[in-house]
Amino acid sequence: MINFETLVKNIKSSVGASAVVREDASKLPPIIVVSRADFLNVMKYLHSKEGGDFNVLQSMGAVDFLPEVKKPAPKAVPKPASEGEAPPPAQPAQEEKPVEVPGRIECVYHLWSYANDFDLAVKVELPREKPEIESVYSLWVGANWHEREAYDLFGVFFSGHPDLRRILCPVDWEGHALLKDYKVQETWRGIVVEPRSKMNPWLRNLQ
Amino acid sequence: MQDNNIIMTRLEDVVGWARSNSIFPNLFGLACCAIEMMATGAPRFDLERFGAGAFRASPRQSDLMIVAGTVTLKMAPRVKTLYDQMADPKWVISMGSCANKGGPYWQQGYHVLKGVDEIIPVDVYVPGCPPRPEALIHGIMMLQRKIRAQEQFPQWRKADPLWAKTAQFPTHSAMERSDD
Repeated sequence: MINFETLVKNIKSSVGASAVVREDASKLPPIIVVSRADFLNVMKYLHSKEGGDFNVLQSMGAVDFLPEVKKPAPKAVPKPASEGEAPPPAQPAQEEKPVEVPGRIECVYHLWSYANDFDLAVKVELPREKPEIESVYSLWVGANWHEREAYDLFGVFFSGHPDLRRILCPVDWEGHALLKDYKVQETWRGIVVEPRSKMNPWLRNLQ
Repeated sequence: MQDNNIIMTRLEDVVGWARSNSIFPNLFGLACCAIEMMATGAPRFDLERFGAGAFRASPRQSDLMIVAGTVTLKMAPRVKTLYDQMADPKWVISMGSCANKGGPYWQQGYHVLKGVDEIIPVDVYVPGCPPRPEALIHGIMMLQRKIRAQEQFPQWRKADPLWAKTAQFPTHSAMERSDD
C-alpha cells in the first residue's frame, strides 16, 4: 500500500526536509539515515497511522565505526590519443588530500508495519565519544532490553529509558565490550579473565 | 550362599562400592551440554542402570556436580556457591569443552570463564562439544573407578595421631587442600 519513495517524501514534508540525510532503496530492507536532531519526531511519525503505521520494532542494535583516514583514489592514466582524434585536453593537476572520517556509532532500528506489510531500517549516526539518543520505549515497549544491551556493549545512553543498566555483563564490569578498541580487563572479582596457561600457545609470546 | 552368608571384606571396599554405584548428580545444566546430559538420562543411554539416574535439584542432596555448559564470569560466583553447598564427599565432572577450557570462546570470549577448574576442583574432564552420551557415560564410569579407589574415610585418618607422623603426599595444585 505504501512504497519507499512516498514514505520518504511524507517524512520530509511532515517532519522537515533535513530529517532524512540519506536513503538507500536498493537494500533489503530499505534504509533511511535520519539526522540526530529530528530522530524522535521521525520515529513518532513512523509509529503513527498516517506515517506508515510501523507498529513492530523487530530489532534494534548499534554498530561501531572507528575513525579512519580515507586515502584518495589513484589518478587515472590518460588514454593515448588514437589517430584522427584530437588529443584530450590536459587535466589540471588535482591533489586529493586524504580525508579523515571521524568515528561514529550507528543505531539501527528495524521496523515493520503489519497493516502495510512493509519493512524499514532506520539508522542514526551518533558521535563516538559521547553517544546519546532518545529512547523509543514510549513508542515500542520491546525496545527496553535492546536499549539496555546497546548501553551495556556500546555505551550508548538512552534518555527517557525507565531502567537503563547493564544486561549481559555483570554490574561491576569495566568498559563496553563490543567497541572495536576494547581491551578486556585483567581480573574480575579475583578471577583471572585470561589465564596465561590457557592462552593460545602460538600467541602467548606475543601478549 | 544361603548357608554361608558371611563375607569378609574391608569397610573401605564396601563403602567405595556403595558410593560409586549410587551417585546422585546435581541438576546443573548451563548450556547445550545440558541437552546431552538429559539425553544420557533418557531411556536410550540410560544413566539409571549405573545408579546415577536420580538427578537431585538441590545441591545439598547431591554428591556429583556435572558442570554441563559454558560458565560465564557472571555465573562463576554462583557455581562456587553451589559447590560449597554440597556435602562431602563430592565430585565434579567437567563436561564439554566450555567447562574444560572455555571451549570455542577461549580466545576472544571476554566474559567466559576459561574452564571451570579456575574456581572448583575437577575430578574428571569429558571432552567434546557436546560430548556424546557415550562419552559422558565413559566419564561417569571413570569417576566410579576413581571413587572406588580413593580413601573413603579421610576424617578417621586425620584424627589418628600416629598418621600425622607419616609422609603426606601433595594434592593436585588445582585442588584445594581441605583443612587438615
